[in-house]
Formats: sequence, C-alpha cells, structure tokens
Amino acid sequence: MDLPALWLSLRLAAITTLLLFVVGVPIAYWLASTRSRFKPVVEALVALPIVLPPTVLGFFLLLSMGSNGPLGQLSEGVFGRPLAFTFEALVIASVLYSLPFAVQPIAVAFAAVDRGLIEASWTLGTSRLRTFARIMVPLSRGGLIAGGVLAFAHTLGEFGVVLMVGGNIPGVTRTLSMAIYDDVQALDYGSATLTAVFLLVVSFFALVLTYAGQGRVAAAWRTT
Amino acid sequence: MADDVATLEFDIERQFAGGPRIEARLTMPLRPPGTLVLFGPSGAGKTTVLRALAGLDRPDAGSIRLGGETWFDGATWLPPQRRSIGYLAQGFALFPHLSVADNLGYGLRSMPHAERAQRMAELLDLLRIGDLADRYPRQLSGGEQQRVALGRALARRPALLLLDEPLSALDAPIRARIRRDLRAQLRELGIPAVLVTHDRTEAITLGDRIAVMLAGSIRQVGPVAEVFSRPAGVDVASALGVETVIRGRVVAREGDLAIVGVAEERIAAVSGVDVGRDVWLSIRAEEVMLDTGDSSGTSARNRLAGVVRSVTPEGPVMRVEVDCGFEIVALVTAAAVGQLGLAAGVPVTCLIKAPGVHVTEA
Repeated sequence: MDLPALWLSLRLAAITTLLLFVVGVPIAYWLASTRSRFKPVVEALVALPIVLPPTVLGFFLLLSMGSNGPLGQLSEGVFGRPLAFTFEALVIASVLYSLPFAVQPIAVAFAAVDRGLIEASWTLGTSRLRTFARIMVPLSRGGLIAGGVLAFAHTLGEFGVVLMVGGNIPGVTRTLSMAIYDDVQALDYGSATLTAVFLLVVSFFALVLTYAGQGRVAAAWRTT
Repeated sequence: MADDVATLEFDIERQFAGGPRIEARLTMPLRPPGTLVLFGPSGAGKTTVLRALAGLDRPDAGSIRLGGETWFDGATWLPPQRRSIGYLAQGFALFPHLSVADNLGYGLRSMPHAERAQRMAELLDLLRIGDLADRYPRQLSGGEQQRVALGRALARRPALLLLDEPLSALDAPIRARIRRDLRAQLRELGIPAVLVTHDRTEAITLGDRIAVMLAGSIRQVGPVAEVFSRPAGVDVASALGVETVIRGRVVAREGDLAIVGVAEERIAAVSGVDVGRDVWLSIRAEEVMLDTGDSSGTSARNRLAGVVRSVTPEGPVMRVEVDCGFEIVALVTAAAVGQLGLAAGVPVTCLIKAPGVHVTEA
C-alpha cells in the first residue's frame, strides 16, 4: 500500500472533520432552530454535494482557486502562492464536499432535542452558549458522532473533487483513492486490492460505529 | 424594593398572524405572597402571557414590571436568564441526562461550593426527595418528577414563580393528591406565583386570586370565591362554569354524605372526604331551586334560608343572588321570578340536592 498516500488521506480526513465541526455545528443549529423562510435555500445549498457530480463541484472550485479565481487571488495576495494543486485546496474542497454528511445527522439530532429543555435551562439563568454545551450537545451525542464519522469516512474515500483541485502530486495531493486509480492504470492489482480492501473495512466500521452510537441514544430514550 | 411598588404589573400585547390578538393587562400585589391563577379555555392566550413573563417570547408591545424592575417595555427586553423567576414548564422539562441532584443544582453553578451543597440539602428536604438524589428523571413517578421540577425552579430563590399547567402531565388518579401537595407547597414557600390552568378544580384549589382570560384579554380579576359568585359577564360565567364557590369544613359523615359546615349552616354533599378536612364547595346555579314556602315536601337534602340580594337578567334566564350568611347564586326563569315575586329583600329558601354540591379538598 502507498503509505505516503495513506498518511495524507488520514491527515486530510482528520483536518476536514475538525473544520466541519467548526463550520457544520453552527449551520446545523441554525437549521434546527430557525423559522426563516430561507431555510430551504440553505438546506439545498448544504445538500448540493450529495447530488452534484464531484467533477462539477471540483471544476468550479478549480476555477475559483486558479490564478484568476477569487480564492486563488486571495491566496496569492495573502500567502504569495497559488491555491490550486495544494493540500490546502484539498482541505477546502473536502469541507465543502463532505458538508452534508456532517450537517444533516447533527441537524436532525439537534431538532430532536425537546425545546422545553433548552428553555428550562435559560430560565435557570444559564446562557445560551452554556445551555448548548450542557444540554444540546450531550442530548445529541449520537448525531454528533454520526456526523463526525460520516464526514471522516466520506473524505477518506473521495476521488473526483480531489482529482480536479489537487491533481495527483505524490505526498502533496495524492490520496488513497488516487493511489488505487494509479495502481489500476499500472496494472498493479495487488496493491490496488490492498488499498481498496482497507477503505472498504474502514467505511464498514465507520458505519457500524455510527449506527451503534445512535442505537445507544435511542435505547436511552426508549426507557424514559 | 420599596413596599409601595411591590407589584407585578404587566401589559402584554401580541398579534398572531391570522390568529387571535392578545391584550392582557394586570396588576398583582406581591405582598402578602399568593398564587394568581390565570384561568381560561385553551387558546385564550394564557400561555402567551406566561411565556412573556418568563422572557421566552417577546410581545409586540406593552410592558412588564416586577417591583421596581422593568423586564420589558418599548426599549427593554430582559432575557429569561436575567429575570428572577422560577419556571415550571408543562411536562416538567427535567434534563433526562442529569440525576435529580444535578437537575436541582443546575442553576446554582455560580454559588460557592459549600453554599450550593447547603441549598441542595434544603431543597431535597423541603420537597421530601432526599432519597431520590441519585436517580434519573426516567426512574421517577409523575409526582416525584413534579417535586423535582418545582425544587429546581425554586433553587435560585426566585422573586416570582411561574407554573404552566403544572398538573396536566399527571395521570388522573394521582392528580388530586399532587394538587393537594402543590397547594401546601405554594402556601409554605411564600413566593408569589402565577399559575396557568384551564381546569376549574385546579383554579379553585390552588388560587388565592383568579384572573379569567377570554379571547386574548383578562376579563376579571379577584379573590377566587368572589369571581365565581360575581362574574363580570355572561361569557365569564360560562367560562367559569360554576357560580357558587364557598369554603367550609367537613363536620360529620352520614353514609356516603359529607356534612359540611359553612358559616352557621350545614350542607350535605355526596363525597368521601373525612371529618375535619377543609373543603371548597362548588354549586352550579342551575342546581339551585328557590322556594318561598316551607318546602318540607322535597327530596333536596339542603334547604338554606336566606334573603334575595339581587335579581338580574342573564341571557334568557334570571340570575338571583341569595344571602344565606354566605352567597348562593341561582338561575331561574323570568316566569318563576314573577310567580314567586322575587326581588331584593324577599326571604327565600334555596333547595340544593346533595349530588349537586361538588366537594374539593382545600
């Protein structure tokens, strides 16, 4: 197996998951509590990567990250180097691409928390932020775990977007799924199988973990 | 807080899109502390008022003041965190992932450790839930949940207690017992409280004063017995559903009948309440017959001599208030009023069947 590619994929998935919590949790909270008429628009934007071909998303990102694109120019202005075909480009692309996989389970879990509990906490003098940490987070633990695991696993296996914005530079943007593609092109089926089985096993256990976590939460509620 | 401003004063205006308009105004004295029942049918706007008092929903206009403190006016809106309230939600809203002790101590985080432990011990003792401290809400009975929720609401020594249908989440068989407990607790606590209910028995048992809310506005406010005996209008009377509410004490039992002493009179009612208990008697005006003779040949167990105080038309019938040492209201036809010559000052006997007298333990 291509160890630099494994290390790169794991790093990418970990950083992406972390960033998705930072970005996705506020979006999920907003979606779960808003009565705004723009909610369907935001929901659609978040869900777009599920239906959009990865190459389409990758193509738009590539345009915006290139020397003439807004993100590319921003990068050159601030860091003095282009953005496309870098690890950072992969991170940005992965965050957008995996956004629905993090936001949707978290938003569903947030929405399932009884609003009365949140209000009870407020009337007991607890700030909105602390109420979120002490009531909302523990009561939607299953959804948070699911969102994190799904985002991680999804990022680990992505291909099309990564290929478009990252190219296939060993050690920089060459991820595991890219390595499989290269192995197959080079007719190295042994190496491809090893990597493919590895991704299969990781994905399977990620899903087991997710469903087990949700089962625990569901079981805890059933006994009430 | 100066004594002369020790009132809760609110004016809550809110227009629901395509729905009812709420315009509720009230001034409630905070001393001596008592319980104000906000009574009315569902949809009357009671919960809107309570949630505005709690700081959970902002009215369109108006004001809310407690003592010298403004919670809401054109420029101010204090969030719930900054109001000195204890809020008991419908269904209790206990935190399912926290133990009873952690639920009670939830609002006390800013207290020094020793003080907090002492306050928790007081609450566990006050509500007799000491043996439940380590349990979780799902392991508690409905009555225990109610006590824990009340304890949690009281923990920060609020200046005002707000209760939203506090007994509606309980099963009917235990509701009567919990209602008596709650009444004792409210008395013992000495905290002014606003309690929302659509249940007449709860209103009578738990309230010192009652505010009747109909179609978005508060139509009448006063001591419970007075509001029941002198409703401000036909709609208020029909919302209350019972015209005479009097306080008494069971002095004897005769089989299935409880004999209740009220002033100088004895009133028989079908009830299992024991001798010595304080009770409220409620009597619907339709259940009261009037007679100007000696009325010896009747099956009615209760014959109360009195004097007519007033006769007023109420819809298609006449409303007759009779002074029997306490007040009894009767609804009779205009023809009967003419035939018996009923008018203020005329002596009359009120006839009430024992099953027509409803007993509620106080």
